[in-house]
Amino acid sequence: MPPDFKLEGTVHGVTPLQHGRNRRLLVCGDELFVRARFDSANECDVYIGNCRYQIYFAQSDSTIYIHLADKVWTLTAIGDYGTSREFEDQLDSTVRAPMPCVVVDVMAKVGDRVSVGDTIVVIESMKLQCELCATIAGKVVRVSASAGAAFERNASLVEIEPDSKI
Amino acid sequence: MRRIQSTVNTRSAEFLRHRAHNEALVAQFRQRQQQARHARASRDLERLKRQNKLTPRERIELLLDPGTPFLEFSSLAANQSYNGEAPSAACITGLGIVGGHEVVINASDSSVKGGAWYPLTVKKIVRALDIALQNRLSVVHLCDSVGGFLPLQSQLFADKEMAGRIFRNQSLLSKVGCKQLALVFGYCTGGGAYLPALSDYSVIVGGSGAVFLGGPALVKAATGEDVTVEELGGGRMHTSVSGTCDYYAASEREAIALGREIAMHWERSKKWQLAQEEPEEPFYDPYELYGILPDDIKKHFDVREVLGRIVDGSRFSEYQPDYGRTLVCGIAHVWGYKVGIFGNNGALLCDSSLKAAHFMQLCNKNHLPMVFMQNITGYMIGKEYEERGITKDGAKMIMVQACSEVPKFTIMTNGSFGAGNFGMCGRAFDPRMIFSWPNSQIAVMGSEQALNTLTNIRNDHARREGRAPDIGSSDPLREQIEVDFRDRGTAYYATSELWDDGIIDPLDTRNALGMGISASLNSPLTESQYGVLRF
Repeated sequence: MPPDFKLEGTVHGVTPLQHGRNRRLLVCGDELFVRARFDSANECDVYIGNCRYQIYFAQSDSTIYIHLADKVWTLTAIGDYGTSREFEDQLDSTVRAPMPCVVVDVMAKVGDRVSVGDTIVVIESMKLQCELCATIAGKVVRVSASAGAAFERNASLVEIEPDSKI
Repeated sequence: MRRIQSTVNTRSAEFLRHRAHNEALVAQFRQRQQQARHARASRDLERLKRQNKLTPRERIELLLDPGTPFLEFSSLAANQSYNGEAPSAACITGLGIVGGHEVVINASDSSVKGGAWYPLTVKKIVRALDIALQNRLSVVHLCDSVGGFLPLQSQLFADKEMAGRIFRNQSLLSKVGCKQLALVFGYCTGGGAYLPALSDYSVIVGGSGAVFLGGPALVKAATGEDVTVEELGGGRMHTSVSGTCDYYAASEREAIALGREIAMHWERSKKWQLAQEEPEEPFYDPYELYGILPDDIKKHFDVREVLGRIVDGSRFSEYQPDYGRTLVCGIAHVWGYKVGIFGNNGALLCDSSLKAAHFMQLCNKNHLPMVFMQNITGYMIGKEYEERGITKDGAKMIMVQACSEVPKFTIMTNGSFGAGNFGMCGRAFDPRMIFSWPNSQIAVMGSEQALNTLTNIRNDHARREGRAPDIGSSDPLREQIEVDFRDRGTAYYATSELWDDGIIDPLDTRNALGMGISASLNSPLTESQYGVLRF
C-alpha cells in the first residue's frame, strides 16, 4: 500500500495505476497521466496531462517542500513505506520465467483475452510451483511455453498485446 | 507500524479446500496427541492407584500456578519408535509457572513401563535441560522411574548426549544459578538417584519414594546384604540419616505443596528489558491460517498472510520490501514483545541470502529476538546462480546465523529442505525453541529430486559402459530412498526423533512464541561476534 499524502493540511489518497517513465495515478478518484523530466536532483519539469509545470523541491524525511508558481507547498507522506505491492509486478507485455524452471501448465492460448491478475502459466522450480499472472490486460499473441518444457531465467513464456498503448 | 494488507479470499473454493485439508491434519494431530497423553493399559493405571500415586499429569496440574499455561515439549516424542510402546518417550517435559517463576518441568511417566528411560527419553530430558540452561530457567524434576531400559542400554548410556549429559546439565544449571527442585514420588535408581542428589532442593514421599544407587536386588546380588527398600533409600532414612533429601512428605499432595512453598522463596530472576508494547490480538482471524496453508507442499503461499494471523495487530514493518523478495524480513510484536521476523517466500537467492545476513546483524545489534518461519526449498542451484556466488552468499547467512546470540525461535510451517534448513535456523543452529506444524516436511532434498538424481547418475553410468539405461527394472537403492523420504520426511518422524520441540496446532503458534520469548529473557544478553565472511 502506498502512503497517503498531506498537502497543506489536507490528506489526499494517491494510488499508482501504472509505473514507469509515464505514470498513471489515481488522485482522490481522478485519473492523471504524469511524466517528470529532471534537470537536476532538485529541479524538474512535471507534465500533468498536457500542462507543463516547472518545479524546484527540497526534501526532509517524509516531507517535501515544493516551490511552484511562486509559492512553497508542504507535502508530507503519512504512514511508513512498507510493502508497496502496487510496485511488485513490473508492467510488462511479456510473461517471463523468473528463474530457471519447468512449465507445469499453460492456461492461455493465442488469441485469448486476458485481464490483469489472470493466471497465465504455472511453473515449477526448486520444488515450488508458482503462478505467473498477467500484469496488463490484452490479447495473447505468442505462447512459447508448453507443459514439461524447461526455460532459462528471463525467457519469454507468453506475450500479450496490450489493449491500449499509453 | 503498517498493517499487512491481506488479499486472501476466504470464500474462494481454493481457500475452503485448503481449510478442510488442514483442519483434518490438525484433527489427526490432536487425536494422536490425546492418545500419547492419556491412552494407557488399565493394568498400569490400576497399579498407580494401588500404590496411592497420582498420574504424572495430575502432579503437574497441582504443581503449576492455577490458571497459568503449560507449554508441553515434544508430546509426540518416540511416536514412531519402540512399536509405540513409549508414548511421549515415557516422560513429560515443558515450560510452566510455579510460584511466579518460569520453570522447566521434567516429569517421569510411571504409567509407561514404570517410567523406564528409553534412548529417546534420555534425549528428551537432555533437551529439556538444554532449554533450561540456554534460557536460564529453574527446573522442577518429578521423579518416578525404575531407571534405564536395559534391553536398549547401549543406546542411552555412554555417548556425549546420553544419560551422563542429564547430570552434567544439572550441575551446570546449579553453577549458573538456576534453581532445581526434585520431588521424589517413586524410585530414583542408579543414575536416576543423582536427579535429587544434584538438585538444590528435594522432597521425598514416605512409603513410595526411594533413592539409591543400587536397589535391594542388586545389593543382594553384589554383596549378599539383605535390606528393604525403606532401609536402603526410603524417605525417613534420607531426610534424617543421610541428608540426601531435605523434606519428608506423607503424601504426594503434601510433597507438591511443599515444593510450591520452596519455589515461592526463590529469588526473582532479573530479565533483560526487551522493547514491549501493550499486546494486541492479530487484526486478521488466526483461524484463516488453515485456509492459507496449501494442501500440497509445492503450492506457494505468501508468508505475510501467515504473519498477519500471528503478530500483534497484524502489523509488520517490512525491511527491504523490494529487495531479495524470496525472503520476507521485518519487525513485528508478538504478545507485545518486539521481534525480528524472517519468512520464506521462495528459494533463497543471492540477494535474499545477503538480506537475511544483514537483517540478522541488525537484530543482534538491536537485541531483538528472531523468529524464523521456515518454508524453504533450499538455496537456488544452477550455473547462473553458482557464478553469482550463491554458495558464498548462503555461507554468509549461515555464518551470521550460527554466531547470532539473541534468542532465536523457529517454526516449521511447510517445507524444510537442504541447506535452507541451516540458514533458516534449523535444530543444529540452536533456536531456543523449535516447533513444527502438522503439515510440515523435512529432508535433505525433495524426494522427486533425490530419485531423479539417482536415475540420472545411473543412466550416465550405463552410458559410459556402453549399456542402454535400465528403465523400469526394480532398483533396491531407489526403493530404499523412496521409503526413507516417504516415512522419515514427515513432521511425525521429525518430532518422534526430537528434531523439534513438538508439533503444534498452527493456531497455538502465537501463544507458544509468546511463552518462549518471555522465558528467553531470563538469559543474559551477549554481544554477537562473527567469523570470517566470504565476500
